[in-house]
Parts: sequence; structure tokens; C-alpha cells
Amino acid sequence: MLKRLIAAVLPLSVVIAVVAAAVAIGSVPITIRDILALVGRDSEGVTSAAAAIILTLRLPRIALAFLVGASLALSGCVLQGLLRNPLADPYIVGASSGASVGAAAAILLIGKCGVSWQQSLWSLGLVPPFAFLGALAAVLVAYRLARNDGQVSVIALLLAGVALSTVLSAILTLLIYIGDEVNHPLIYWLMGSFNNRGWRHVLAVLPYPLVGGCALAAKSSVLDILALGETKAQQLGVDVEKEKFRLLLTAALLTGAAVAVSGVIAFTGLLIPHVLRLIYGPGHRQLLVRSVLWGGCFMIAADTLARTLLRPVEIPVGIVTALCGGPFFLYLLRREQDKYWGESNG
Amino acid sequence: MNRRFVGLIVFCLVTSLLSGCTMHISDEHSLTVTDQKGREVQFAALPETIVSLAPSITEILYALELDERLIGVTTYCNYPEAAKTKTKVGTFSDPDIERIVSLQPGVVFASALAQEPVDKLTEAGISVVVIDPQDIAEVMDAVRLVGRTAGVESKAEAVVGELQGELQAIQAKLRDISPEEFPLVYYEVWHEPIMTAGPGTFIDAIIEAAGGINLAGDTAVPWPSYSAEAILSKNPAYIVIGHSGQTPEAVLARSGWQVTAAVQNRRVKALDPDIFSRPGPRVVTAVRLLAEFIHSDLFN
Repeated sequence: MLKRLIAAVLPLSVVIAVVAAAVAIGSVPITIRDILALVGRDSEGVTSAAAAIILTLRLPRIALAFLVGASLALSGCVLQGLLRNPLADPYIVGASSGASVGAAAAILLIGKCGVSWQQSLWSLGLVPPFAFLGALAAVLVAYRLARNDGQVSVIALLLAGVALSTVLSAILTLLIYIGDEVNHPLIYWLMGSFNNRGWRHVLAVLPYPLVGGCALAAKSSVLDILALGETKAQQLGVDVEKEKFRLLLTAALLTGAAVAVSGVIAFTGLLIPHVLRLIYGPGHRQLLVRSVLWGGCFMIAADTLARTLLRPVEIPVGIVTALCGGPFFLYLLRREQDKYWGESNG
Repeated sequence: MNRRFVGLIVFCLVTSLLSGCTMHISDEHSLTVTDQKGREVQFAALPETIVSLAPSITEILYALELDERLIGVTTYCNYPEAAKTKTKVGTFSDPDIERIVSLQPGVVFASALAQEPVDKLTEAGISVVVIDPQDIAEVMDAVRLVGRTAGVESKAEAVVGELQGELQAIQAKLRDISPEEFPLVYYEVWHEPIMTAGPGTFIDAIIEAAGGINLAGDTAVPWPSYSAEAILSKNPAYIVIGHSGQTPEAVLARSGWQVTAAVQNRRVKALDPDIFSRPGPRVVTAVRLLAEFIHSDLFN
């Protein structure tokens, strides 16, 4: 009983600890007294700048990082289960290339043609909706390409995704070539960042992991069954094609929303579910929940590092996730070699 | 034997005198210039036709009234308006070498952005002079260098004199304020992600010349992605929007930015980024526009 309690409380306390640390650490020093003063509505000792920084920049940033990390980890978990491949990530079926092309097109429109639709979608600007639509469109096109006689085989989907990514990358390269003056901002955007994101970004993203998470909670058993192979799943009564489309669409929406507000942050969607699977096993019910929690924490930690390592200059978050995640991933693979190679690859 | 020896010496002397004469004659038209990358470029004759490989250089050429001799510009050369009608020879990072060689210009003025085109053009026998000013003083040197190469030195001196005069007039007005009272200026190169100009950039030099302090002056990189938190806590007095991504009204509405003096006093202005990033004669215009913005009491 006690063990169960600890198991339930531990991840939550980790989340709280990570969030608290993230609020306190930053390029602008904010003391615990400042935070408590704000909480206790005693704003005499707190400068208005510190209050503004905590409330309007740091807190929404941490919340956004958690939601983006959770979305990416969730999406990665779903795709790994759907494609029955532990090396799948949210971007594998074309989402990242689609989002990149969308964002590049938006930035070029703004920078070179002077278009600026500031009133679009709660004044988020042109880039997020373009990136979101780009990601979604790419995944749907890949799905359509892979469909044959109403059936989509996993291999066909993977191949279509890779082929589409190649074409989209070529278009992206062309846009970068045309870009010239706006190249620097474009490439920075592509590497991912949470700088200067506010509560409206949080609100824009929130529905996706919320609704997507709830929808997926009901699908954990479907994912478990799919791991046995599609024929077996069909025999067990699962409408395989329909479920595959639903899962793919959910993953695409989660990825699109994450990329729209923060750029293409690599590695999180691949690393987190995989590591959790190695530690806790492949049961999807716990895997989905843990992906949300640990994906969110990981992203908060990565963002905190990204904004403090070279303060006051910020490094793109994608660099931090890759540099931190990669070696840890390799270490875990080495340690769990038998477990990994022992998993079936059907 | 004696006579032959004397005859030989006389022959040598006469020959050397004559050859000395011809060298002296050709000296009047030949020219050696040292460009801003330290390269020595020799010209056997005055270069009649000119190709420009950077928008800033095109602006210098028009200021020196050399536009009639200008036969090729880049696709980005958009100032003055007349420059847009000239033959395009590619971009400044990727010029069309074949096109330039086919035009057979007397001289090509290139920026320091890409070494390869310079090498390729030199191999093809085209004289290339690299213009690479690092600060405002070197912009004046660049104007003089272009003038010297093209044979319009007096015009170049006149233009430099005019520009320096304008600059000195601005500096004179600024002498009334002590440097500690210079306002903190945040120049935004892009909004998403936030990018500003650090030390070593032209924008930094312009802010300094206009009597301001660059908010990003403490970074080590020239184009840092500055933390929004740090910007807010440094509290800039003036914000310059150097891009078309957001209107000043949208910047004023940024959540959390109302703690800055700039937003509170509505001192947010959009200025043409071309003027601020091109190391040409309009750099003085940039200094003037910025000085008028951040020291409005002195300049209006």
C-alpha cells in the first residue's frame, strides 16, 4: 500500500520540484521571497519588473514547456505503438518537414512581402497557424499516399512519410535560399524556442494535450493489442484501419500544436517514451500517463538550461534536448541491451 | 676592345633611359589600390565599367554619381529607385560569375561575404576590389577607395566631407549630454524568436553614434537571441523595430512588456532596417533618424 502511495506521489513531487526550480532559476534573479510575496499578495517588497517577469514570462513559459513536452512525448508514444517501432518519433510521418515549410512560408511572407496578420488567432501571428496546418497536411498526405484499397500498412506509411519529408525538405531548402535576410530568424525558429511566449500561447496549445490525452486514455488497450500484430488485433475485434487513422490523426494534431508554438524540438518524442518503456515496461496505460509527466518535466528542464547556460543569450531548446537526451539514451541502450534486442519487431 | 666596351655601356644607358621613359608614361594611367581586405589590386587603365556586388556598394556608387558607368548590380540593390533598372548579376552571396565575366567590367566591387566569387573572378581576369567597412569611419574609407579606383577622388572627398559634416553636427548636439545619461535602446532585428544586434555590428555602431546604449552590448555574439526576461529587467527606454514582422502597436501590446519605460511612454518606433544594416552613405541617415528618435528634445 505504502509502495503504491510512493509510486503515485513521487512523479508529482518531481514535477512540482522541477517547476519550482524553473521559476526560481533564470537570467533574472528572482528570490523565494519574491515568489512568496507574490503568492501572498504582499507586493510591497517585489518590484513590478520582477512580478511582470514571473507572471507574464516565466510562468507561461514553464506551463508551455510542460504542455509541449507532454504533447511530443504523447505523440511519440502513440506513433511508436502504432508503427510498432521503438525508434519512431512524432516527426517521422512528415510532421516536422510540413511544419518547417509552413513556418518558412509564413516568415518569408512577413519578411519579404510585408504581410503581417497580427490579429490572426489571438494575435499569435502568422507563423503558428501556418506551421500547424503544414504539419497536419503533411501527415494526412502521407496517410493518403500510403493507403491502398482502404488499407494502410505500417511500412507503406513509414515510406510515404520519409518520401514526403524528402520532398518537403527540398522545398524548405529552396525557401531558405530565397530567404536571405530572414534566414537567421527562420533557422532559429526551426531549432525551437520558448523565448517571449506568453499565456496566449499556452491557451492556444492547451486544448490539444488535454483533449488528445483524454482521447488516448481510452485507447491504451487498443495500442496494447496492436502491439501483438494487426491480424491478431483484427481477430480480437479491433477495427484496425479506423483505429490506426484515429491514432495517427491524434498524434498529428498533438505534434502540430507543439511545433506551431515552439518550433521543431527534436528528440523528446523519441526519447521519453522509449526510455520509459525500457524502465517501466510496454503497458500503454501507464506509459501514456508517464509520458505526459516525464515529457513535460524533461522539456521544462531543457528550457531552463537553454535560457540560463549562456545568459542573457538563449540557445535553441532543440540543441539542449539533443545534447542531453542523446548520450543518456545511448547509456540506457547499452545497459538494457538484452531487453531491447529481445523485444519482438512485428 | 675599349671602344666596344664603351659602346656597350652607352647602349645599355640609352636603352634603360628609354625604357624608363615608357614606364613613366604608363604610370600616369596605372593604379594600385589596397582594398579593405588588404588585397593589392593593380589597374593598367582607368576602369570604365563597374559591377557592384552589394546593395551598400551600389549606394556608394550612386552617391559618387558613377551610375552611368554601373553595368551590373545584385537583385537586392533597391536604393535608389534607379538601381532597380540595372542589369542583375545575382545575389551578393552567390553572384553569377559567368554573367559578370561576359559583361567584362573594368572593376567589380565586392563585399567580404563570400571569398569564392572573388577568387573565381580574379582567376577569370576581372579586377575585384573588396569593400568591407567594419565601422562608420571605415565606411568613409570605403567611399574614398571607390572614388580612387574609379578616378573620381575629388567627388569622393566632397561626399565624405558632407557625411562627416552631418555626423559631426549630430555629435556636437550630443555633447550637451553626459554619456551616463545616454538612453538604453533595444533594437529588434526579429520578433519570433527574439533577435537583436550585439557588439561588432553596424547597428551597434549606429546606436553608439546616435548617443544611445545598445541593450545587447554585453553579449559575445553579434546576433544573439536575447532572453525576453533580461530585456524587461534591463528596462529599455526606447525600442526600435527593425523588421516588418510586428507593428509598433502589436509590440506595445506584448504581455509583460508594459513594465518597460519604452512601452509606458510609447517610445516604440519602426525604422527601415535597410538603412541600419547597409554600410554605405545612408549610415549617417540612420544615425540621424535614431538620434532624432532617442533625443527628440535636442533635435526638434
